[in-house]
Amino acid sequence: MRVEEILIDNIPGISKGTASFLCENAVVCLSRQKHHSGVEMKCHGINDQPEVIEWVTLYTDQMNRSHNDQEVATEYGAVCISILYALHHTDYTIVQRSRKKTGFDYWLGNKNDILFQNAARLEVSGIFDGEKMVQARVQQKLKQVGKSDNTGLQAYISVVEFSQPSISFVKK
Amino acid sequence: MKIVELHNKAMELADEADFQIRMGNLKKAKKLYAKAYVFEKKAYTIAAYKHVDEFSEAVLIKSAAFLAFDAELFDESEKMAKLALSKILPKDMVIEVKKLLNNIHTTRSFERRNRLIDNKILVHLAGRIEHQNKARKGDIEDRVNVLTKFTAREAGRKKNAPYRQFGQPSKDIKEICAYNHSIERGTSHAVIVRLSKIEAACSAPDNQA
Repeated sequence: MRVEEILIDNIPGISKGTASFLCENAVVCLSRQKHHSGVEMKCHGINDQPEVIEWVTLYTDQMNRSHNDQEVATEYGAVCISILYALHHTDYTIVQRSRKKTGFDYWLGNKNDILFQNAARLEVSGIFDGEKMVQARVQQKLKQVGKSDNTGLQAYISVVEFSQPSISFVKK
Repeated sequence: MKIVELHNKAMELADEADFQIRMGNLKKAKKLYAKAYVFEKKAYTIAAYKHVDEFSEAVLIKSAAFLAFDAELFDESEKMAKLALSKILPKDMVIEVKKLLNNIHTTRSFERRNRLIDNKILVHLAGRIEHQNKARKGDIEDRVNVLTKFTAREAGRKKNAPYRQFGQPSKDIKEICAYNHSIERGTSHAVIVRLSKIEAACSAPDNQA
């Protein structure tokens, strides 16, 4: 899985600028954890096969200063990895966004769908350094999204951890 | 422009606004959020007119409500949030929209506080009260009692009265501290503590709570 695929894939709901921002955040988080292109990412949930993450974007001083807020970088870095993973491992092809209190909601959809019709909500969470926190975070997210069961809305929960790269991608 | 194009334009502007916030340009960000709101509202209006599908309409209107809030267009945000609640939404999204309505009322309460005259303090009661949309008698009374006690202490200090370790404040201080209670919206609880005769008795304490 190459991080820059998010730029090439021409995702309808994500402009080139946003895709580039997401891509940079993923590279920043992985580089700050001293990982190099080709690092293995453990996967749990819908697919247990590990993924190899590759990137060509250079981690520069300028990039480091631009993304100095680690919390923000982790959040958007996790969004980047989650979108790529969703595009690789689910039947969905389109990502749309909608506004929520703190940023954006991400939606996975099919090519022929109109906007959010039949869309699945992608709930993303990022952890910069805390392998042990992953399970608890997944449970917390499942509990939150669980409230929407009665509407038949599909939801995926994705928790990305950067220190020992892993993704827990669970279908609710 | 098609619905999707309008919606995508709104999201791009919101992205730009988020970027401006990170750069510290709050005024510019506010303008961009307002522009994004116009596009999102337009996308919703067309979707509703064409009866696209109710869920998409609900997501668009919810999104518009949050953009209007970010742009500090509270009346618009309230309108959109209420419209969103009239649609079929998943429960967790309903909770999000209700919290947004709560935030709108809270923000308005704080704005009003700035317009209060000097001898009034408006206290917004947050926490359990906010989430349950109802307040038990004790929830309000206990907090108001604490506040009036502190106010009486402050008034005594400003009047250079001797420090009181226990017992009631003196009659003249007690007289100037009275409160009346107002609930401004169904989801926002506020209490106004009015310090009557404050100018005559001593200088008014800071209008902060």
